[in-house]
Amino acid sequence: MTWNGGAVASEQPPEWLDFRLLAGNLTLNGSSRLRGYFTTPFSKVTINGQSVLEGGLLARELLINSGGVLRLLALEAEENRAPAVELVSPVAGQVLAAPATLRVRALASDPDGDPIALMRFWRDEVLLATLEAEPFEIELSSLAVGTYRFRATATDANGSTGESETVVVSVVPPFVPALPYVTDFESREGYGVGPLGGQQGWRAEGDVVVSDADAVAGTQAVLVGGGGRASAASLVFDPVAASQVVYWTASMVPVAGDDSATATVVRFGGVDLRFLREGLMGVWQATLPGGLGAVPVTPGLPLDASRSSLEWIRIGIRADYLRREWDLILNGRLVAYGLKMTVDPVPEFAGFEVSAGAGSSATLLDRVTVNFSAPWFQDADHDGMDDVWEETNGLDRSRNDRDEDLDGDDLTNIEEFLLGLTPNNPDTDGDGLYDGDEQLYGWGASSPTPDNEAPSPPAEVNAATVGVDRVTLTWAAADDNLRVAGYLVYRDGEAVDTAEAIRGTTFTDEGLVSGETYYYAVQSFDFAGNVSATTDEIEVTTLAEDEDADGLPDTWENRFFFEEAAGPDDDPDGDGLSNLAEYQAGSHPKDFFNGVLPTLSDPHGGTSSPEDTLVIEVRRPDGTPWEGAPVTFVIDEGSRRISADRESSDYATKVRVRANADGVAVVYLEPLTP
Amino acid sequence: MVLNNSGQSVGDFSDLLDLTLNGNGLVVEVSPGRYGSFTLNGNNRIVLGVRGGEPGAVSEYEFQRLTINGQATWEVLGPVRV
Repeated sequence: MTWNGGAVASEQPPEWLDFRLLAGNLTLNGSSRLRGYFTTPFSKVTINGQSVLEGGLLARELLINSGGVLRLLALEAEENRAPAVELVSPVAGQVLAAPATLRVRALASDPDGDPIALMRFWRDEVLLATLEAEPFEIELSSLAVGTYRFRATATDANGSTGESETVVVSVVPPFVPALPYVTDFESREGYGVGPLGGQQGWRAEGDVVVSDADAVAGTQAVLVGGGGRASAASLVFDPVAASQVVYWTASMVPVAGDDSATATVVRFGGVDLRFLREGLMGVWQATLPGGLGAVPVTPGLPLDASRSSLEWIRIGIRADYLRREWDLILNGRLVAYGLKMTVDPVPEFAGFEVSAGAGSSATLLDRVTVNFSAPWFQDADHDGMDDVWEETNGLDRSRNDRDEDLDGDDLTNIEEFLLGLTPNNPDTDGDGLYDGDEQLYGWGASSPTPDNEAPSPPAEVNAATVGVDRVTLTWAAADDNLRVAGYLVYRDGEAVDTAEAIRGTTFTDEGLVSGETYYYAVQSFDFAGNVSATTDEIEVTTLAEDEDADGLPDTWENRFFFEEAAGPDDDPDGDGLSNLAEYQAGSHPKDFFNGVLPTLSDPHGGTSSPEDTLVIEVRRPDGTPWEGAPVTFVIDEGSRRISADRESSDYATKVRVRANADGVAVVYLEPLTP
Repeated sequence: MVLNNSGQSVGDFSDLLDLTLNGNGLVVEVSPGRYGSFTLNGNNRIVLGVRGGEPGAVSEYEFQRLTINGQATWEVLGPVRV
């Protein structure tokens, strides 16, 4: 190898170059310069001119000529540095309630890149565990009241051992808060800045600290999470009777997660609420019973770049353990009601937990309350509706009437409360549309909505029953783009005046004259006042009165018989129709012909003999003989008399007879006796 | 292979055996491996090793003959064994 003035360009550490020459010689000429460790056991090394060889050299032969320089550098022994160890759990000063459960977790790294071979956990001088692989984590349970000092030591693969700082943890007697409960995490309440766990009965996992950096009530608040690991703060109460309604509230700056593992979660007996990200917004979602998915229960709330809510949010939960449902109140306003509890059977209320995911942002928590009465308004019956609002709107504030529908607009009272509507007025905005319909169609029940579309006319109008003085009409319901409000009934072209609107599909018109004929038609109208076309008229005749109950109305009997006896089976005109048949047919009971004119032949016969007859033929308009037709013969003048019977002595100048089968009516003549 | 100007390239180092750099200003980053005879003339430069490589990693080179003339240089960026 020959260097003729070429040099190493960089001033690299000499140990970077391990130069081994197995054959030939190494010669530096001119002003060459080399740095490194040269192993040339079979070679001759020659340094000529102004050349420099720096570092270390092993050579069979060395020759330095003229101004050549060999500069030997001491080889530094390589140090095996100890691993760095940190106890990330518990945190210094942490206070836990007995019997405590504690996770001891350590992280280690080696500056030389050596693997960590052993991790040992110590409590005071007692070895708790030796772990050979990550995760370096153990869990201790049932810790009694006392002070505990934890540390960890890590040993690398080359035997160097590093040690963490000692972390002191206190386990204190359990503290169970009573209801009603309220805290602002202030120093006056006994809270100190630092880990929340163990303070005032709180339990904590992960990173949960009282901070004076930001607060919505007072000067201190709690940070849950933010250290890159899942964290939770919880508080345990004595279990509450299952029949109770419990109100839980908290001010929070939640962090929106992409799933349950990264979201801020509020959880207690049957209630599970989590803050999930939807685009640039965060939405509170309620977990469904059995954990089968979740439903959004709030509008989108704006987030900052770290996915934290832009502002403090006041969360309120009304948990009804009797009905097994809960309501959500956001910033003092009811936003969701009747949410089903997640588990069955529903557990009793025995505390709550606020947890945060393993992100870098912490969930802020402040002003927490738990109570048996609503913190938002007076609510004596615990039905979730403001007593003042209930009284103003005609509801009963002494019993739970939230699921009733006082005004029948298809919105329950609690829905009206949620929407800011009036529960005793089906049309809050007075636009003619039911509140329930407006909500269903998304038109808003609190602002008028125009509706210019008329309903269809009703169909199949008919008289279901007809009485002496009344008629009951029925019809098929009309259709409308929203809902038909009612119907108008017209009698003889005039709208029937009714005390109340006709809502259904039947109407009885009363006070009618018996035996009269009326003409009815029907219209429909909607809540906006749009009116349909009128149906075709139907003809209805009321029944006549019938005092003797013989089927013949009194008016009919009076008309034709007055005080005469008139049985329903009688046939006074002999036309083969009984009186009842005449009545039902609308024909005249005493008119054989019923208004049809017969054809009469001229009388013939009766010329000279006292034995003679007088004959008239009676025929229908079609020329057929009209049997039974009554014919009255009258002798106006002359010397004859007539009789219906030849043998009879009952002769007169006027005789009534009936036509026989061939339509011939016959009378007999005899001389008029002087 | 003889390189006389910067427009030329070594190509695949696994196929390289001998290398001569002529002219001026050529810089060749040499991949670790086994080579034949390298001759550097002018003010050209070869670069050995990897900057910021894995701790403990050493780039290994084997030359049958290495001659550096004139102002030619070599540069070592990280631990190498030659």
